[in-house]
Amino acid sequence: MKPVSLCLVQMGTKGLELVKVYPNVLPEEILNQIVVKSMPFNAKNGDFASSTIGDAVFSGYIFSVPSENERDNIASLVAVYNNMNYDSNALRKVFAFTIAELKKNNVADIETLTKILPNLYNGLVNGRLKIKISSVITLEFDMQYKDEKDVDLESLNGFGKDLWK
Amino acid sequence: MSFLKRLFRQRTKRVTITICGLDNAGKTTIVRYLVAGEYKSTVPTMGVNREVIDLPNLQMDIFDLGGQLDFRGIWPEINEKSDGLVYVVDASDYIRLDESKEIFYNIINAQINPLIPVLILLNKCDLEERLSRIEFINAFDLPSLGNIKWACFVTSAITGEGIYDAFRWFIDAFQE
Repeated sequence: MKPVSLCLVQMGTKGLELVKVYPNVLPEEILNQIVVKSMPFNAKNGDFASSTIGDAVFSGYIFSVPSENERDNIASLVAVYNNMNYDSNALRKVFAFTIAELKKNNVADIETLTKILPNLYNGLVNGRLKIKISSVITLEFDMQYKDEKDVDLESLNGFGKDLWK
Repeated sequence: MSFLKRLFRQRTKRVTITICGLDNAGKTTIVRYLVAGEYKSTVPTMGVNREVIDLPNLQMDIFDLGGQLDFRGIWPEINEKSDGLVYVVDASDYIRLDESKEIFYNIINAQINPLIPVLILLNKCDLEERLSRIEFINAFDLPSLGNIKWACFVTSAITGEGIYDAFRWFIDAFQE
């Protein structure tokens, strides 16, 4: 699950723009293409999209960014990998959970996401996410635990199938 | 359905409509209002949104085009197949009025069939600081459109003001 990089992309006045990349290890031409491809046409809040650029593979979670004074914006959290051997479903769950928790606590803004991007990257690398947003808000997500739960569920379903036989 | 019934049933006319204008003019909010009959909050359009609205004897296939600079490159291809253009202007955005005018005339002169109806919506009339219809018509030099069939309505996609009248004109223009 270790990504090469995480990118935060948002809609600007001219079009899609890169807000932050962490770690900043990707060539500029690849980054430019990731920005353009990070949201497919007609993309909406909650969509999850994957694509490739050369040897790089990436998946992005698209979400609305609430705003009090102006209209909401649209942005994407993108994880870039150097091969296809990653669990895109688990990644979608992590991103969806992170954004949902931030929205629940009214901190789903670009500034907060920019700040937590390195922690989110480290969380994906370690398989365990723990991000302190403020003195009262901490995001926690254990990918191992979630995976085990999913495996348990699958084995139970398998048991049911066996019984049917 | 019998052969005769199929032969004589009233045919539904299908029209393709494009909605253009600067980013944040209110294009998607207007489309949402048409579909839902009430205000729905929106996010910036990622390229193109498509909605189909069925009316008695008329089906409107609406292409709501993203207004950001990067998306304007796809407009000509969609506009040249359009049967009707809706152009939305933010009545409160004095600063970008010239930019909006330039884009409007580029669409009129180079992208659409000159015979199609053009509906111009001066949107966000619910805001206090805004252009009046007369000020806008003069600023946009709309009388210079000549033979093009056009109309300008003052609208608000939040309150719904003017939207029914505007699209009544537009639909009638297709029926003629």
